[in-house]
Amino acid sequence: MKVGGGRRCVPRRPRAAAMGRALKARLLHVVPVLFLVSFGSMLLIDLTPGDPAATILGDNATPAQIHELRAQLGLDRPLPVRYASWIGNIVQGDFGRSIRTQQPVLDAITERLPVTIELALLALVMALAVVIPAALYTAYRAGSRADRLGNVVSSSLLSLPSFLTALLLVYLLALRFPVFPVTGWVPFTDDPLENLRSAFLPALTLALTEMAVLTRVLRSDLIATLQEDFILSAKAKGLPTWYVLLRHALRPSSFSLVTLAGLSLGRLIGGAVIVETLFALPGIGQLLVNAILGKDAVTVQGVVLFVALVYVGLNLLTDVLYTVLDPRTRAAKA
Amino acid sequence: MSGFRLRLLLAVPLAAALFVGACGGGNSNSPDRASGSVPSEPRSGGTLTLLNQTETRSLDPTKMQIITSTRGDGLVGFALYGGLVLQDPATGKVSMSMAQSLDSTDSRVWTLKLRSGLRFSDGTTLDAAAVKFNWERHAAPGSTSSALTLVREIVSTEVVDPLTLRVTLDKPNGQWPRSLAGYPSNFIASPKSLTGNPDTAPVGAGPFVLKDWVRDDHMTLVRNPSYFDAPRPYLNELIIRPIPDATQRYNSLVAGQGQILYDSVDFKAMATAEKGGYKIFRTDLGGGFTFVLNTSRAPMNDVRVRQAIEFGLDRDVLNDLVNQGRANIVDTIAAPDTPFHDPSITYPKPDRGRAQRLIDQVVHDTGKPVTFTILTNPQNQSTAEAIQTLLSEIKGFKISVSTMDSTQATVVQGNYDMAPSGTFFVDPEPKLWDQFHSGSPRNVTRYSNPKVDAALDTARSSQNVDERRAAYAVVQRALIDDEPVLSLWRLPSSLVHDRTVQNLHTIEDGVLRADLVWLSE
Repeated sequence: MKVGGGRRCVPRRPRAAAMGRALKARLLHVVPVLFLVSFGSMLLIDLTPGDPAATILGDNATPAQIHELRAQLGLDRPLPVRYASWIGNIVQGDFGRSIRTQQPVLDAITERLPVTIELALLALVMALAVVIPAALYTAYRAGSRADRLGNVVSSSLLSLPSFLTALLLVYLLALRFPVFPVTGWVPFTDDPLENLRSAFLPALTLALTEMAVLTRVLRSDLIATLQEDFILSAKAKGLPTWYVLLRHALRPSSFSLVTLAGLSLGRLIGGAVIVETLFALPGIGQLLVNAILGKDAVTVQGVVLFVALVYVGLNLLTDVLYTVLDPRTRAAKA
Repeated sequence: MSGFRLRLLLAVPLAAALFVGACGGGNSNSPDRASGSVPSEPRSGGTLTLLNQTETRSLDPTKMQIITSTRGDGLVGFALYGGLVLQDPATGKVSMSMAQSLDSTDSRVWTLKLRSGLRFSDGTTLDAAAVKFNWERHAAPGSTSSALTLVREIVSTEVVDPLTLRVTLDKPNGQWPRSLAGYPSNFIASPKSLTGNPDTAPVGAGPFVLKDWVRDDHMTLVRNPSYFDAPRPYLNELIIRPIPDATQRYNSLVAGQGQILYDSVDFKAMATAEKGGYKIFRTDLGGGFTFVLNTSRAPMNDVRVRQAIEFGLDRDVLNDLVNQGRANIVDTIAAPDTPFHDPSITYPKPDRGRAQRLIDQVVHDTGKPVTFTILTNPQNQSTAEAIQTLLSEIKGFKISVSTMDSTQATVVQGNYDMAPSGTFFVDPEPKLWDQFHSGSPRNVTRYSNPKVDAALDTARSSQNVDERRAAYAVVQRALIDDEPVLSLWRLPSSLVHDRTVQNLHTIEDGVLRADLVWLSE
């Protein structure tokens, strides 16, 4: 339909309907992804040398005992049969029982989830609390001494492996100056302050790596944005620098940050394996490590499937967040 | 943004973090935490936190491993269930605990008499019927209990009276109480509780009762007021925390997050702990860390090859390379100061020339080099590679190293040439029988020597020390001559603790007797 001036009028579609279509399309992609990751993890576990029954029974197990336990656990069935049986249970909401402990896998995951989620969120919040001001400042003062120092610090953080970061933090803040505990976890419901103390060092370890990456990404995008005309206009209007940076520059520069933060959160929830092992935290990462070492395929698959679902969910959330941040994406979808 | 505002922005979260940290309890980090003199009498009360390297898989005795310090099962099993009999690793003596006596005149029919008044923590009675019920559960069809070979020796059990159980074995076994002490059939759970889930509600008659268990985090056990051996246990609470990383485990001890930790021999860590002022309670054992050789297939089926490995490897050099010289080299099978130690039966000294001559003979006979693979796990990779390097100096050896996460299944299946293992024992029975008798399903070397079989059977069936000593002399000589295993060094199990922890005793290969421990403050 044409209106005055020859401009074409695109009928307005509700935002929700557009998002709904996008969600449906995404959900269709989820199924093959979940199939691939779950079958892939089962296959990899199966291919690695070792026998879960032998691991469970220990060094003094006899061949007959190993054989008997394999039969009891259904490990003597072919891989496709085991996988089909597992999928059949999954669609009924049954993630199966751990081969090692016989605990329902879903129970094991939900028991450990609060630890990992808290750790991941805390790490991300700590990271963003530093990333946003640091990136704003260094982008604003690009090329300055502070900017160069920021680059050096982020390069150093990127090159430090997380286990080394963890041990350095433990040495400094738990042993040399005993401010935080070395290992262990106190649930939030037991003692909120002790919970924060026990979470601080592991979260900081995770946050440091994220800070390095996210600061660089946001800084680059900010530098590009600060060259835009609308920023010049805003300055010309006499708006304060902090207002220009926060209100005008930050938002359009955030897309990469949002994408990476979403992926980071997924990765952190998927299991900060090294950190959870070093700090002896009862999270998803430890569960996964113990399951892999014990060749507990049922638990590994359950955790991998869960993590895949989390990733997919976070990707969807990221897309939704885009539409909030940038109205142009809504119009494009419309 | 001004410099001041930026500094303020950065200072606020840092101050918050330090506030949170400061508000929490401080950490004590000195091994000399015992501030005053140590009382002479045991002191009741207190919480002992033990930092372990792993966690038990299950609290069901039929799912526990043999009673060993390398896993949490022994510690937790004894804490919850106590034991009918206990073996002292220092002397090899088997003493009665919940059993009043376990006797036999012919080594075949054993009479178990329980102490009177034993009660499970749910109030029910620990009687002969409960013992029978537990043992039959271990032997049930489909059971994969680690005690299966032991309970399957039992032909019949008869409840003579509430406190007396008569056990008839299929063959005479004069050391049956010793075997019982080492298997989880020693742990008697309340039959009523076994109908439920023992992992969430285990009921035993041991010194402690389960309070809570958060997997991969901690297990809290509290004093059992109805434990038969009052006033023990002295502790009010025992907390066991699994911390897989050895460095962090030690750091947690230093930071005061535990008073005692278990280490399955990290020589460097122990040296660090000693230097740091901590005390180490060592349980020295016979046997040692070994590499098993598959005598059922080439090239290890040739005794000359096995002997060449023995003569060609200088253990002192290997010890220097791998352990910075800290380990005690094995020169005899039974450890010094134990009943079966014979100083005249020793491993031969390294002799490179003799090793070379043996390999030259084999190469001449077979027409090709002696080729084999050392299968290893990541923990022993450096040892395997060092052995490869040292033996490769002998012409005619062609050795490779293959690493996998766990070698156990491959070794049990017999698909290996040489792999790491261990022969650790307080008394040679049942370990040497299990590992070297040709009828044993645990004989992974597939070693077969009728003379050794006969001697092992004699040592097992007899209750006479001199007769057993003579039999084990035959066994030790044959094992050193035939070389089915390459023995390297002793591996004591170690408990590292601060000075508040008193009265440490262990059973089996280093399992802590938590009922006897007390804290000086």
